[in-house]
Amino acid sequence: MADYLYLIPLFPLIGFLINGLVGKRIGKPMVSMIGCLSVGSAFLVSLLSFNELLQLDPHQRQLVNHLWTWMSVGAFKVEVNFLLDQLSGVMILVVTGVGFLIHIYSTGYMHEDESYWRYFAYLNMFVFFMCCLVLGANYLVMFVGWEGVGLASYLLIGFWYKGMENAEAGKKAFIVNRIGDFGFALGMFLMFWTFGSLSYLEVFPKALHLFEQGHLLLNAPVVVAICLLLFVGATGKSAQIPLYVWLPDAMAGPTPVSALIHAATMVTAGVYMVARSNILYTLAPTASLVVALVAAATALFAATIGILQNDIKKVLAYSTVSQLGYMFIGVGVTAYWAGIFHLMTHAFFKACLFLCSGSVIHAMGGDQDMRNMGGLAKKMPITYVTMLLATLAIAGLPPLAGFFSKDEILWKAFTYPYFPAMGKIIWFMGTLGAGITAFYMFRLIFMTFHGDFRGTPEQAHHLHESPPSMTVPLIILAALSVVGGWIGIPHLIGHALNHHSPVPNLFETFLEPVFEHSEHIVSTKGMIHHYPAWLEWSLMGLSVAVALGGIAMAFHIYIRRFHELPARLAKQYAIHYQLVYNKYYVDEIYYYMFVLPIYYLSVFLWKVVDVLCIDKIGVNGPGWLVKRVSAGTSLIHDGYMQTYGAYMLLGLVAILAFFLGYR
Amino acid sequence: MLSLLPETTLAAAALFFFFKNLELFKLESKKAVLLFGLAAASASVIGLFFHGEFFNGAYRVDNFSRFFTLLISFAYMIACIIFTRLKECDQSRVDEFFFFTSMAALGLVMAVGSVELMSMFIALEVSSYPMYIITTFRKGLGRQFEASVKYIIFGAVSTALMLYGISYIYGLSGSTFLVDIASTLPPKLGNPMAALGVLLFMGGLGYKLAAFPFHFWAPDVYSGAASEVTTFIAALPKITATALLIRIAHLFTGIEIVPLTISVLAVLSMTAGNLMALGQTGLKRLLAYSAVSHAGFILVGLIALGNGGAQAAMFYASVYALMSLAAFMVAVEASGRDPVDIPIERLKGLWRKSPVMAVMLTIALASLAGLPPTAGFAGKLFLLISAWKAGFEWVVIAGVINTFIGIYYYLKVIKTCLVSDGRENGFAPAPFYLKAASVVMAATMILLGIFPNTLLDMAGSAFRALVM
Repeated sequence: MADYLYLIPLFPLIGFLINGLVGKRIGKPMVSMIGCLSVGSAFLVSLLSFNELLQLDPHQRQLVNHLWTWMSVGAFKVEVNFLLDQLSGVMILVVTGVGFLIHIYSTGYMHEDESYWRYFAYLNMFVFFMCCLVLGANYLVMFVGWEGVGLASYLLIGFWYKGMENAEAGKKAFIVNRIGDFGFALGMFLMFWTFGSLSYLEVFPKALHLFEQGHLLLNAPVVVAICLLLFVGATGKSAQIPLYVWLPDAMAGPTPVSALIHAATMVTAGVYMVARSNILYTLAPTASLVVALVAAATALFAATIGILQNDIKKVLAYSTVSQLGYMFIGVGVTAYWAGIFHLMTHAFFKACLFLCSGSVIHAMGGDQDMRNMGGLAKKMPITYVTMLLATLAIAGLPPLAGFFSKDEILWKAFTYPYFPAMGKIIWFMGTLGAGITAFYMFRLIFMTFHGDFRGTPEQAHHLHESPPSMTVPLIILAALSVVGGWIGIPHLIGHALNHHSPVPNLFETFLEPVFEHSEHIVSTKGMIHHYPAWLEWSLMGLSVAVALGGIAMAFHIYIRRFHELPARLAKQYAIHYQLVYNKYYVDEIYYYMFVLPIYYLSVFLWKVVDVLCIDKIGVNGPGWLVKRVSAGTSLIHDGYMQTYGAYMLLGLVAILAFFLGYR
Repeated sequence: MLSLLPETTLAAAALFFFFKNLELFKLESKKAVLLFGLAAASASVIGLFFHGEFFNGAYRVDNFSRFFTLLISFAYMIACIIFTRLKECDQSRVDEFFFFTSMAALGLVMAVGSVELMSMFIALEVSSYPMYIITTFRKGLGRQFEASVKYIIFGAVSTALMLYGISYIYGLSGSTFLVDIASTLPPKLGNPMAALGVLLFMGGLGYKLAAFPFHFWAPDVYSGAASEVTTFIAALPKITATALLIRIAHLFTGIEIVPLTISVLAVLSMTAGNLMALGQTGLKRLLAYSAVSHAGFILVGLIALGNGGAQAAMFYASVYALMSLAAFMVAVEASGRDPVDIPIERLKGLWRKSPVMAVMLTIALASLAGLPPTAGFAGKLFLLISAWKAGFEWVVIAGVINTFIGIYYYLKVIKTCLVSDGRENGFAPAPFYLKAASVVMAATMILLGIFPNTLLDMAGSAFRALVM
């Protein structure tokens, strides 16, 4: 049975405790061994349990591990349960698998750091919470993990806490995420209020039952509200408009952290949450539309910002925001499996890209500015090749992983069953974004690896390929970025490859039982058009063409006419350039719209209400009077007491008035 | 007489220190106080199993009063452990100090067991006077006298109000026994006199709890008194105030206006406390304002006594006492060099000097902030659920917003104690038993967050004793 699921989070927890408590004393080799071994064991257990899952009949693939009853107050009962089904199975493999590789990579990358043990303790803690998030069988356990990964992310962003900027970035991430969590918490309250439970295995069947009985209409306001509130939480954690601003700043943390937390796993939690709640979102088409529109806007918007960033990690950060947008498009247009598929392939190629950038930064002695790089391909061939493969994958060229997942999402958007017209718009934005993605990713490749080296002579001297502990994970991830998409080959291509026994879409078939009820609802309530095959072929061709166009443009600007064209364009389109270069001034707008008013409000409360009204006028004022009049210096007569007493009595009178006036 | 064992033990402690003051015993005071702390805690555990009625029914020992006796005694024990580290308190008055704290604890325990207004009142006074006095027990010329005078005057005003309220209640119901009041008074609540009486009485308790608008004494007393004294004042009276408020509010279940009034006060209290805490730079002042906010949370439980609110409030009071003691344990370690309050900056480097203390403080503050998986989170959750069930959704929303505000200033303190900039703040290394105690306290705060049901069920059965 599945009563060993708890081992998956337990191993990283033990690793965290050991490294956190005694890591300082046991030395670096021991710390890295414990760190990697704990996550490796978690990965092994995940594989074992996944295998057990596969042995079951597809429709009974649910392993539940009951741990204890957390609390039970009347009808409110929360069990700490872990649930492994197809969806959490895929997620847990990605989390522990990619997590394991990044742990190994970190042993090389962080080797010089003095707080090595602290780093591994935090990283293990992150994996622990992420496992709780993924495996939790109800929203509350998910929320615990959700908050926990937020904490780990905060700690790791500010890992090099001596830099003020890093601490600021950590703080920003934390505060922005709190806003999202507020929505998430309200969504949970509303859900409990509506369905009387927070457990997946109770809420979803109940919602479905109510719907089938006709008690719950499609687009019932309460379900829409729940979905939207939960999505507010997702916009925070998964960096969507309007709460995406923290993610680019989060790059202040060590690069493996950016790869694991801010690209491959934590930021995809929102996508997982929506996919997990698929029945609710299917029952609330309006909420789904909001998700898809916000996602499409984010995908396009963030991609445009990526064009002009010069910091190699910032480019990847905006690219992550944009790619998360694609995943949300997938889950928004009710193609849940496609969203998860892109989540998985993205985990491979984006982790690979980040780790490659880490390798580059390592070689550059900490410099992240691409304007100082160039021509690195000769010095670090493994990094170059792996990064190029991952870039081709993200650009969406067949037959690499990104092509299959991104194209599936775009096609599903085009055929959005609930709102076909909006679907076309979303598809257009997505395709445009894909072209821009290809452009800025190849801009990154060309500026970093091609041309002549533009850094200082010391840097040039220092350039070297990274050690095997770093390159081996790169190679594995690059390989996965190439072949990872082959488990989700669209039916169309599957047929074309082999007419008699088409290549099956393994991934969709595998996840189908999780989403079958949603699909059923969509097929009865949505507007299913049958689109001809040539349309799908031509859209596929179009997106490849757009990607190639992006690459060609990048080649033209950044290889052939690198010396004059970028500068000339910047001058020619100065306003646009400034706008995009400064990230549309969103940070500044938020600063003036939200941060400053709150700041001034608190200053007002402090200076005017507290100091002036209460202290000066209320307290010191009478005190000053009394002092003047009585000239006594006794402390009691300085006015504090009378004023306070007066407040107290006034309050009491007000309460009494309220009490009596109410009836 | 086993049913009065907890009271007897505390009285014995008081008597011991009273005579110790006359140099009658050789035993070292700091050892003795530890001993009596342990004895009181053990006695309260034994006391759980014996019930009875005394003084013509004015004093009742049942599950309800024994639950709170247990809390007070354990809080007293932890306070005693902290008292062994007298940092700011005048060393020459150590025996007096222990005498007065034991006396105050005794008064608090007696108040919890009283089911008659006069004995309740007298027990509260027995607990109050020692606290007024110990507020002055601070080395050097700080602001302790100002604090004490404020404390006394506010105490006197609220005592007067309370007594005045009792007179109205007595006048209208013809009895001071809660049993009689329960049957005669509720129908008369429309009468302004009755309303005035009940409100004045509850206002007096609000003063003990430091709830808005009776909280004005708290910041000055917290910061002006010696840290050890504040430790005591911050935790123990809150337990008794919660108990008595539940007792009184329970009399008026079913009368709509009572929970409504309490809900307004609760929200005002948590909001005002939180907003004022935001800008504080002194640790004790910050904790004082945060206490006002937590008083608001405890009041939330009184809105919906029957819907699990009472259990939740009892759970939260226990947890709050623990968190507050934990925070002050560290405050005492950090104190001794500042004229009035301990600047939060003083905690810098705590992580380096005493990791155990830093971890405990972090957990305590996370729990105060209501972050999972701590006990504070579970407590707040229960409170808000009970309010939600009673139909007070707006209180829940206000509570959630306030929780989020609170996180901000607690995290500031956590950050300060975990970040070290290399400057030494010279914490003296804590002795072993203090470290052990802080490990146990930290573990309890986590365990109560993960397995809150034991304590919650205990509170539930205690509350049922009140209902019967």
